[in-house]
Amino acid sequence: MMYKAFFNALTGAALLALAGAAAADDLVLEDAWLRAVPPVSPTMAGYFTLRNDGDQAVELIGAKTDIAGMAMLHDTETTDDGQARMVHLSGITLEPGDEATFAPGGKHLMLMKVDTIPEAGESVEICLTFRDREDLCGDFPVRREAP
Amino acid sequence: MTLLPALAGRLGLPGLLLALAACAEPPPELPVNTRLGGDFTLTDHRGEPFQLADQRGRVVLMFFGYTHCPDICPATLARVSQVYRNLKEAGDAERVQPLFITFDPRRDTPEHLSEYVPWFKANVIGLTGDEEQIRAVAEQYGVVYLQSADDGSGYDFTHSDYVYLLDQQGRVRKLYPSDFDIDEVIHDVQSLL
Ligand SMILES: [Cu+2]
Repeated sequence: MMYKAFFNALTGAALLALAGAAAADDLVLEDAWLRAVPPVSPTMAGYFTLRNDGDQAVELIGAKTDIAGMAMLHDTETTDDGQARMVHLSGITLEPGDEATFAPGGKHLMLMKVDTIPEAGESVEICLTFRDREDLCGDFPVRREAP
Repeated sequence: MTLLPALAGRLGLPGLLLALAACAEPPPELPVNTRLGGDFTLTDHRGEPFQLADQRGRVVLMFFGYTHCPDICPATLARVSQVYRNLKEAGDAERVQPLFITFDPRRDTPEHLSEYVPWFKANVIGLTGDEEQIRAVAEQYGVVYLQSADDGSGYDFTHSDYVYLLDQQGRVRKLYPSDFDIDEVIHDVQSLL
């Protein structure tokens, strides 16, 4: 157990140094990006991986950013007959060691009422919000395609 | 190793060389889907009437969505655009036409579409119409969609998200999921040119 904890801490530190990941205590936000959309779009979708390297469960409940009037956690559900629909997620609990992946076609950060759509190459700060703990903020580069 | 002489025997050597040059196996012809499809008339993003039949002689990549959708729709548009650009590099752009049909004519007017689709730089034609016209086209192609209630942050749609490959006669030849393999689609398009 101790070895594992040490190894996790080491990996976390290494990733922080190498990939510019954002970490608050033992929460690690990685692979964050926003999909570039035409300037006329009112909405954008963001993606990331969030890992809980700590020893307490955390609950991700939302997000906020200056560029959007509203930010929500969404999931795209696809049924067997190929029907896709978006649903609002009220919260995601991450037990110690758990990882949540937000990726195209599945869970995504939904930014609504975006005043000025940022262009590919720009970067936007988005803060993830949690129940009973401080926000975790990170830079989301805007990209035309998945990294 | 023993496969090559056997194949060479069956195909003849020139046939084998051709097959290897293309994609290592003779492409099976794509079946015609007789249950889906048909001609339709809508309005394009320049406000002009658009009839599918006018695309005869072109292979069409067609899909449905709406511009207020931030996740799957722009991702699909980006992938279809990638297919188009790769085909353009191969010199096939003239005979390929991407079409984007909106479920959401109320917000996706020709003006709105004209600011949206050109951004993808893939000669995509955005299509809209009145609600009945769009519902009729969706029905022809077996597309199901349902508008959600407006919860204050706007409304969206539950919808099927297939991409349709139509041949030069406007017949449906294949359906792809929205996360289709780009090379597979390019290969299929070229098999119909
Ligand atoms: Cu969403």
